[in-house]
Amino acid sequence: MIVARSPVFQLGVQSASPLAVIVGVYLLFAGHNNPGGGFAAGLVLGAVVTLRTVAGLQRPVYGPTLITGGTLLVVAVAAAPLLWGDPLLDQKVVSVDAPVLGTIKTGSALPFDIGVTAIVVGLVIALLDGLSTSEALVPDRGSPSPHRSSS
Amino acid sequence: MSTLIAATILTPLVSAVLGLAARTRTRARDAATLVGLGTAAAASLMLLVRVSTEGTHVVRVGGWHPELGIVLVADLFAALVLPVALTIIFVVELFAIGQRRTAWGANPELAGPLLGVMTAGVSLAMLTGDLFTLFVAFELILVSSYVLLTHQGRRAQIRAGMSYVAMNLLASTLFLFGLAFIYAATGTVNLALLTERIPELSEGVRLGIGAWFFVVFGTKAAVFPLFSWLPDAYPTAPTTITAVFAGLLTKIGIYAMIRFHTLTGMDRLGSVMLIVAGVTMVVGALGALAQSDVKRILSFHIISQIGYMLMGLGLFSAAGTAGAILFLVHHMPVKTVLFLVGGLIENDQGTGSLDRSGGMAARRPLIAALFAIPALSLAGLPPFSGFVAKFAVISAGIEAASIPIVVAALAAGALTLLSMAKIWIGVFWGSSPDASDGRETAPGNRRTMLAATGLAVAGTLTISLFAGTLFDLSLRASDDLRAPDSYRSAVLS
Amino acid sequence: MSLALLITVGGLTSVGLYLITARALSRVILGFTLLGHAAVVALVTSGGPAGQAPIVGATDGDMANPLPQALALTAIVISFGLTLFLLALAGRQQELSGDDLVEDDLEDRRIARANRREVDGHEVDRHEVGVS
Repeated sequence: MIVARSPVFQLGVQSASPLAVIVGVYLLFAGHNNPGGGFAAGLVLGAVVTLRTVAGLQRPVYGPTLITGGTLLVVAVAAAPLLWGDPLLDQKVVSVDAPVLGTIKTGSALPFDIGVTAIVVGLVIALLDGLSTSEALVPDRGSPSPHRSSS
Repeated sequence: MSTLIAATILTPLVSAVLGLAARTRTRARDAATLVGLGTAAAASLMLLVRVSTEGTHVVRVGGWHPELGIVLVADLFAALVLPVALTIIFVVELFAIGQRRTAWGANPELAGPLLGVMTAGVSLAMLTGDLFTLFVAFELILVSSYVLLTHQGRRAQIRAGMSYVAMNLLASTLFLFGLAFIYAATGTVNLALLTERIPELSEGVRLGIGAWFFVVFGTKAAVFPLFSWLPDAYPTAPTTITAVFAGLLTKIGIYAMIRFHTLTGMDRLGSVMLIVAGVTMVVGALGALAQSDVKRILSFHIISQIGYMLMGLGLFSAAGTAGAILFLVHHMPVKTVLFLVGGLIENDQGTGSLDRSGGMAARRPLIAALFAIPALSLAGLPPFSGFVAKFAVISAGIEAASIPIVVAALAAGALTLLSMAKIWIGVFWGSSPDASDGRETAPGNRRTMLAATGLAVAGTLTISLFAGTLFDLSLRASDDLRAPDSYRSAVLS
Repeated sequence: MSLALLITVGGLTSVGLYLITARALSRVILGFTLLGHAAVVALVTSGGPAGQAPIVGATDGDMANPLPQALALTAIVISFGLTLFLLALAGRQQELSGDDLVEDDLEDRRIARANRREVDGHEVDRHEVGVS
């Protein structure tokens, strides 16, 4: 089912992906007070992974690891305030005056957002992995079928 | 107490991802899921003890005011139902671990973690204090149920799964529309604020919202005209999965209905609910009689029993709501156990069809006993919990002088007993079929399955034993629900 | 509350419901997507009059109500995931049966067959033979 991939497409994706990653990371950090946030960043980074997979530049790997890590991080940040008696999901805000970047305002919402990003990217990867095996997205059908029967 | 509330939601989620990460490392995976689910169940039990002595506890997530943020409210109703639900999931996971090497079992790599996600959803659905979080919790439960139902990818599962997903997706979309209506009418989706603002609305808008949410929750709960997806979808899943679905999913719909319609004082919808309840009971019981497969009969029973809970709610009296709550508490474990025994039967006979099995009373007396107790309880015979629950609902009906619904309830009870007798005659009496292709199960696995089922039966007996205490608690919970002032002041102060 | 948005909700809902009744799964999925959009637009509409983006420090004067927007965002995320799941399910169905049509309900088929045999089985059977 796979048609030969256009080199223009491959080259385009290859050169655009660093830029898109920068946009994704920007959204992740901007999310504290401006439009953006963990989910938006995850979608942009997920789109990068999707395009690169479709272009044949990489294989969808580490999906479950990202989901696990991300969820653990999110749960840790959510539950941590309980330890010192604050309500669930309470956040701490930190302001730092950095020499070049000016005033940076961030807080415990940042690791939470990073966790969300990891979950979203992980889900996209897991999805690509699952769908690619039924209709060959990836040229060599290496990974096992997603529909394992348990017999 | 905040920690307990957080534990019921977060530990199953953590165990789910740990189980997912462990993947093929069986022991680590099983340990992670069992510990997570067990911790959540224990936490919910402690929550019940604390709430019943200290009263409603409220957690404001992130410290936001209820008008803006999410609140988790552990009132007596939530605290009473939650331990039952979480214990069921724990027992089923135990059963699933025993069943995993048989052809009937769910894929353990997925089932354990997904049950964890579902547990988190169940806890969130019961503890949440606003309708939108309830929507998210519903989706959490449903998404994991979609995957659990279809993950083996068999043809029947895909076919039934498609209608199941479509039906529930439609209900979810209607839920969203309902949220839009409520927000447009009142400017909030927080239940505590709604108890104040919905009664202020004009009669038409109020009843419109009530009827809309009756349809939404009714679809999830499989009430009369909206039940067709249930008996089609449930039997196709692996036994363990069906057992969880049967015990929990429809009941979450009823739970939401009891909470929403009682707190917002939708008494005017009572007569509609009673009519729907009566038809649901009788149609479900008749449907069960027409079937010839254990799991399908039991699936129709779910529908029939939903009718009783709806009847208790529809009476809109303190005794009626208490009866509905008690019925909920009794029904969840009993239904789960029956499906687990159905799984044992399939495991032993190789089929759940009544025509092709028989003689199990002589060969497997233990399974027969494990079936008989919850079956009699479901049919409502004394001294089991089903009798107390049914008696509570029906006496509330007599008290309210709603004779037609009482007659329907009694008739449906008789029909239920009849179809239970049908299973008993078909499966346990008679001679064994000649060519029994029972699944080869390692003795250790069968012991785990039997132990899990036995544990669950013991649980239902415990509920029968403490029926009086539970009824008192149900009465208190229903009083709380019917007098929303206390709920409101607990959340808003 | 803007009339244009309400008409959009109505239009999306009717097209969505129409598509859901189709027999081809691809259409059903499109129908659910449109219905989801309709619900999201309804949620946003329920927040009251339009206004400037509700960002702290970036706006002065009338802000739009941010709460329904947050709800709508969550709903979008959920419906996005469910659409993907439906697509995967339809894909599996195609793999199994070669088409993406909704299959007959087993029970329906059994009852139809029983009816045909019992009521006027002989005639209908002969008729069927004659047709084929």
